[in-house]
Amino acid sequence: MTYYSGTLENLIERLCGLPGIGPKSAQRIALYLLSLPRDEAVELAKSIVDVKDRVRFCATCFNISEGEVCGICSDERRDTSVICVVEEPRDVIAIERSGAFRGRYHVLGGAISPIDGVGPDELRFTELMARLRGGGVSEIVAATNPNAEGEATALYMAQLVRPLGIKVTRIASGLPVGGDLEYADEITLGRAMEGRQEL
Amino acid sequence: MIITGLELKNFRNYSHLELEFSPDNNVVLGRNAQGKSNLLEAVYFLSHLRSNRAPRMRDLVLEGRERASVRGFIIDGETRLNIHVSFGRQGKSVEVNGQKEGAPSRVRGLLKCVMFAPDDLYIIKGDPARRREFLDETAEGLGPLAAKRVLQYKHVLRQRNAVLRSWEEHGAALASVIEPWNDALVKAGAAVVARRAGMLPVMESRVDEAYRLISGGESEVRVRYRGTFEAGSGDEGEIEEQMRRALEASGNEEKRARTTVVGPHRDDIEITLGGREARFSVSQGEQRTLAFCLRVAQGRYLEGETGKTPVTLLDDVLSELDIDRREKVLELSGKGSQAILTATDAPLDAGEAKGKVFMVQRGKVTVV
Repeated sequence: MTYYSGTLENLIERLCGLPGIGPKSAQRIALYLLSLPRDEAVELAKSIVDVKDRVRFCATCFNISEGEVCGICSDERRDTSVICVVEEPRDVIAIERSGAFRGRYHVLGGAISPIDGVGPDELRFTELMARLRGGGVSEIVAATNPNAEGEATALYMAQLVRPLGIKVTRIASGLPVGGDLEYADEITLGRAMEGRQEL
Repeated sequence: MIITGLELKNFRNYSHLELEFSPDNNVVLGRNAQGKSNLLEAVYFLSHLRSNRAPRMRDLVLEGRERASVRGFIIDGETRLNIHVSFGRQGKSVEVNGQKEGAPSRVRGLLKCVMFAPDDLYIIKGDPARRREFLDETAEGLGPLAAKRVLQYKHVLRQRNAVLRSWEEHGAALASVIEPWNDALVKAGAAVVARRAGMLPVMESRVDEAYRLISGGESEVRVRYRGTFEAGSGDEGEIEEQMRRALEASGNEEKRARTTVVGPHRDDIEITLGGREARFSVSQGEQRTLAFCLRVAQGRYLEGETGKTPVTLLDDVLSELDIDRREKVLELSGKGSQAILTATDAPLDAGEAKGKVFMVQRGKVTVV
């Protein structure tokens, strides 16, 4: 059913295609945009175009970047001997926010998922191997998601990298900090138990 | 465990319904196609978050409506639960005691029930998939974690099979592409196998017991687990090891079949009556009785494992039996538990003695 003019309807439809936005939110956002002063709306449109024009992928790690090489890869103070391998750029942001890692990254561009037609060739493993053969790396941290696809991706990478004599580690999975033991499911709890450490 | 009340909105042929159940027997009477089974289906739905007969959720929504909901008031020992499930085109949302549950799957199995339905016959007569469904449904009754393992296994299996479907594409790299899935497959698979292998010996004695009571005969019922590899002692670690070995040995066969041939997705249960295979070599009447006994065993197993007595749902099961078996069936299925049963005519005086009788007519329910 169409309650709106074609132009507004078009905007709602486009917003509706965005991740996490359903028809109701799309309608609310569209009406909000309509109420904005013209120059603010133009600013918003311009920033979308700018992102498309200026932002690209880092030639080394494939994180999002404004230059040829991203800020992390060009930061001399970071440890070049450790590479943390993640699925998506948003994972880099998450780990950076933690401040717990001072090495460099490699963004695979997803996880192996045969049902979706994503095999190793669709991910940036060739680029990773080229980086590793360049030397100077002693450890790879597999920071893919702790689900079936992420685990398989980590295991595949371990097979690939091990012959180079480089250590492959996997981030731990277990109990969330500040959480309650009794609410953890048995699989998570089992993993946490396997990864226990001496006090 | 008792369900004291049920509220339906746009569920099947009920636009709005509120019912109060008796803690003992509840007999739902009515002619065919009035909505008797839908009431039992709603109770099953609260327990399993899916229908026992419709694979698609949208078939549960009253025609022309967007969403449907089911609310159940449950007494579980000292605990009172108010489970509300609403669903429709925009997904499912679940509340327990007014609190939204972020992971609906955690509600599965909170209400425990055993559904006896006419097509249970196919658990005996049908193909192995029907028997695996029976095992998975039993696991669901144990609680959310047992159900999660089954789902995890199925997910990894789909991924691994996707590789095998076009294995030639990978050429020499095939082994390295498939290996990462083996670990997860074996871990989840061993958990499923261990549960099944542990469950069946308990069920076997229950089935045998129930069968002798109903038939009065001497024929022995055997219920045996038939896996795709030797499970060994039943210890999960050992099963993992055995499954891994069997998986590695099946390389050529799975390439030929283009699918994984080792694992619980190919399990079966072998049921024999007096040494004859129940699937092919016994009468339909005996098959029906055996199916009924499997349900009794399912209920007793859940009770033994969880310490909670499931609610018994009997969907038009009595009409299939001769009169002298009816009484025993009612006694066996409802023993010590709350029962809700449907019938086209009043089943037995005994059934009505304690409890409530409802009359259903075109989506309206009246207490008789």
